[in-house]
Amino acid sequence: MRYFTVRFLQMIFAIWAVATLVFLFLQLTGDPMELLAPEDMSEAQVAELRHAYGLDRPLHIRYLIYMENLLKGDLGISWTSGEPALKLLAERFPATLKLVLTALGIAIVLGLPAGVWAAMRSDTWVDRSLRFFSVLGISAPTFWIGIMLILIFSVTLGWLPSAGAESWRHYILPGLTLSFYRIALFLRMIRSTMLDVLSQDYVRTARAKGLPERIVVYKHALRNALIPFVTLVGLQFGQLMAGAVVTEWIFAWPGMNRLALNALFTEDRPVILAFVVLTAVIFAAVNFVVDLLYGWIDPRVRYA
Amino acid sequence: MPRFPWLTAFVLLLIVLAAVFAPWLAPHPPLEGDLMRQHLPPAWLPGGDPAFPLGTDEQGRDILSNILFGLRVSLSVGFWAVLISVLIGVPLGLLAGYSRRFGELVMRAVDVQLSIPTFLIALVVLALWGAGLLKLILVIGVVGWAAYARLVRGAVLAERSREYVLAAEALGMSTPRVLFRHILPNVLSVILVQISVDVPRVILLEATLSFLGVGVSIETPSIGLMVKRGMDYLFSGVWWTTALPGLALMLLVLTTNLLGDWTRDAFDPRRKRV
Repeated sequence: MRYFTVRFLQMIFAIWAVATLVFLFLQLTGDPMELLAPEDMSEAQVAELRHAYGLDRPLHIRYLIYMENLLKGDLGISWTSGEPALKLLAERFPATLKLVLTALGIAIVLGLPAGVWAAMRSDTWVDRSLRFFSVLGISAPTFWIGIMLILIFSVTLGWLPSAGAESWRHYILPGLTLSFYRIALFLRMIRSTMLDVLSQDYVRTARAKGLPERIVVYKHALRNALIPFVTLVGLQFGQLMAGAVVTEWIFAWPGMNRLALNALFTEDRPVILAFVVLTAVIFAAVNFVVDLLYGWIDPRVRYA
Repeated sequence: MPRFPWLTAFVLLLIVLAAVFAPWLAPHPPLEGDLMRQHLPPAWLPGGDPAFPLGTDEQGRDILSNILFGLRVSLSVGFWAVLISVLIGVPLGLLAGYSRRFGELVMRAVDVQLSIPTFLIALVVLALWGAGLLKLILVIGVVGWAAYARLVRGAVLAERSREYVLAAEALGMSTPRVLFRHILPNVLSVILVQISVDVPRVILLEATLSFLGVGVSIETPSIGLMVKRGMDYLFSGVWWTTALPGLALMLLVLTTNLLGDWTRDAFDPRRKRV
């Protein structure tokens, strides 16, 4: 219980600090009136507009209002569309979530068995080629993978669409693009933890008592190797929710990352702010859940 | 110690040399275009020109020259940004490991820093402050401090109760002396391993940010920017302006990663196997 409380307070503190830092940073980047007010506006009109956005109040008052609104779940109104920033992001959230889950699914289905396979065949050609592939996977820039997939499957072969999210076929290329790095990451991780676990005493005992290798690997070794794996998958989920910017942009995916990127290019500060705060919340929540899960699976963590 | 990957190191050395000597090696000035020769294919294809071995882009600029200069940018960002992270993170980590109060403070700051992805911080800051090589290095470098601070603090905490530290303290040595002369050399391997993971990560980060248009400025030859520009011509069958620069970048990151793997196996005490 104490562990839970401490972790929870740390999470709240981190979110508060992020929200404050983004707020302050956005204040440092110049007068928003230069963006909001059309060139031919008179001084009086500009002042009126400034008042309408509440930008004529002193910094600490605006900060308090911002914090109060934040607690109510109000993250401001988009400057470009006039709609609540959080609503805009929430509308785009499912598309991003579906893409991220697709990518994680692909990465687990391919990376996990490949990692186990490499560990069981360690130092054979199977292991060596899988390992080479995995270094390749973490070395290839995601944007380049996406573009190469478009070149091959959309431009040359004409098999798959390269933009939009209308049907399941639209998920394949962006899903693969986003999962490429994770397949490699999962493979590397599972391989090395499996090798560690397979050299443990209880595995030797299991083998010594004559259990079939299949049972030793899947029931004894893999279960223990899965503990750190769960953490990694959780952290990758958090990373991807705000890290699919490149993929969503290349494939014109109607997700919240592309919305945020557009907001950055048009300096739509409320949307930028909302996106960063939302990311921090998702990130913190995922880390928190992963930590709890970890503490639950492995009781040693709780007393560390 | 695992066998040193000579081939990898050799290829990496070639890339580094090619990048360093780009001004002398490149067949053309990277930004010199000529609309008369736009989108020339690589020399081995019909219509190619041997003077432009890897073809030209939409403004007739030589791809090979741009790759060489682009790798220069990748490597300098990788080097300088990581150096900044180390210079901020290591001293903070050392002090944090030594003083309990200060340590708590630093760890809370690390928590905050790590609660937003590095990529997102760099993206937002650069998009609002404007692109540019120096800003890019500065932002990536400053944002990267947290990993070093946390690692070094952990290592210092482990070292503190060792006999040699207790002995140094008993002899009445000053705290900075104990920290920098006695503890630092013993946590160097941890730092080295983190650097070897960081350099390829930072190189990819630069390319990605430049690809999105918030990294280096448009006048800087950069792999990310080349691929970004090439993306507009994918459906006209022009593949060399995106495929080849990306391939070059991947080779650089691949060799640094392979060397990093070796560094980790060789120096990471946690990984020593019987």
